[in-house]
Amino acid sequence: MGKVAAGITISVDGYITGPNDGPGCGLGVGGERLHYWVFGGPWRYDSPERGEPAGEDKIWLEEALGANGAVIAGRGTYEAAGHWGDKNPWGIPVFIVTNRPQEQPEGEEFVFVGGLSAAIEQAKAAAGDKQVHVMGGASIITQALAAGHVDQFTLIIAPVLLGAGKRLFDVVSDSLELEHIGVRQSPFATFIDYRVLH
Amino acid sequence: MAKLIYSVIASLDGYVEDQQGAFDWAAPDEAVHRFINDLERPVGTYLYGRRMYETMIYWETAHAVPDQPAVAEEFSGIWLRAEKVVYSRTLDAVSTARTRIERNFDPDSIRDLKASAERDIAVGGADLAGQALSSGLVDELQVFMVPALVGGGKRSLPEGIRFDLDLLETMPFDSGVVFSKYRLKP
Repeated sequence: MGKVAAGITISVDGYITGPNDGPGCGLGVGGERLHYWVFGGPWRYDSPERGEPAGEDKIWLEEALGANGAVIAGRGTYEAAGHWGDKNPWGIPVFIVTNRPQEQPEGEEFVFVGGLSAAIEQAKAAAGDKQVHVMGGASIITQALAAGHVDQFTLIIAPVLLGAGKRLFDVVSDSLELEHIGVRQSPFATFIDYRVLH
Repeated sequence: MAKLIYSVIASLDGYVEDQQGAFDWAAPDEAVHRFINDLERPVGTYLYGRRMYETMIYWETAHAVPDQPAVAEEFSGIWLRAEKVVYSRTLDAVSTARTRIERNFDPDSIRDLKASAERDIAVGGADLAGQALSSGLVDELQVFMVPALVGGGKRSLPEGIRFDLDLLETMPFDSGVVFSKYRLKP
């Protein structure tokens, strides 16, 4: 059975979005800075230009994508991403955690599941020996961490202070033991890998 | 012209102390402490909030504690040689040398100090550092991220400020602590 991995980008002051995040602006106002590492530098929601990741950023992304056998995302992330244009962009099974699984769209691009534990179970079965990637949003990742589902956690720290927005760790009220695995650095992010001790 | 530096040891979820006010989980081991000594050696003046000052008073006499590890003894020396300014409305007197009290946080006087000082200035205590950040006075941010989630308490960085940062340096330690140094873009 493969492991469950989660990773998320935060600002140095702990925000995963700027203020007023929502459809068309998933990272909030001014939150684009968080994902410079994904697009190889500056980009904006109000402009179509997107670059490609390079260097350590590209290596990390390719390693993560290559290791994945299934993806779990929350309904909020799914909606904020505009359903990824109703096309599964990963080519591996994608499970969407939602309170309304009956709204499952037609076709087999995405599988709606009514709870996180069930989604983890189904994703593990679908992934086989490969890893299950819990992509977000924050509440799904923190729920997965708190419930002990996550084996490896990557904190990606973007060099910005956002000062407002959604915080990753507001809902984790219990302490968690983490073991440091490694750190890498690019001009746009610091990647810190942790093993979650159960 | 001196830099104003905010150096902070924080949990992964961004707290300097937990909900009980404890920060034992943040205590540096020898390797981190040695690294801190190297960072602090160039500092000429410390700006402290009252609570941070009261925590740091220990270092005034730490060299006299028997069996003190070498890194602690060395830090004590670094601290003794630096000037200290304590920001407090209630404190009447101080018990440490080279220390003066200021009643109010005055951005202009800190701007003057930065312009005239030859050695760097460090601000300690999350509240005071938050005021310095909000006033746009901080040039460099140094974060020691401790691999612990403490779930709540006192935040290491204030709400409501926004700065783009340049990552200058990252240093991982065996203990899992990760140090990052950032320059705040004006």
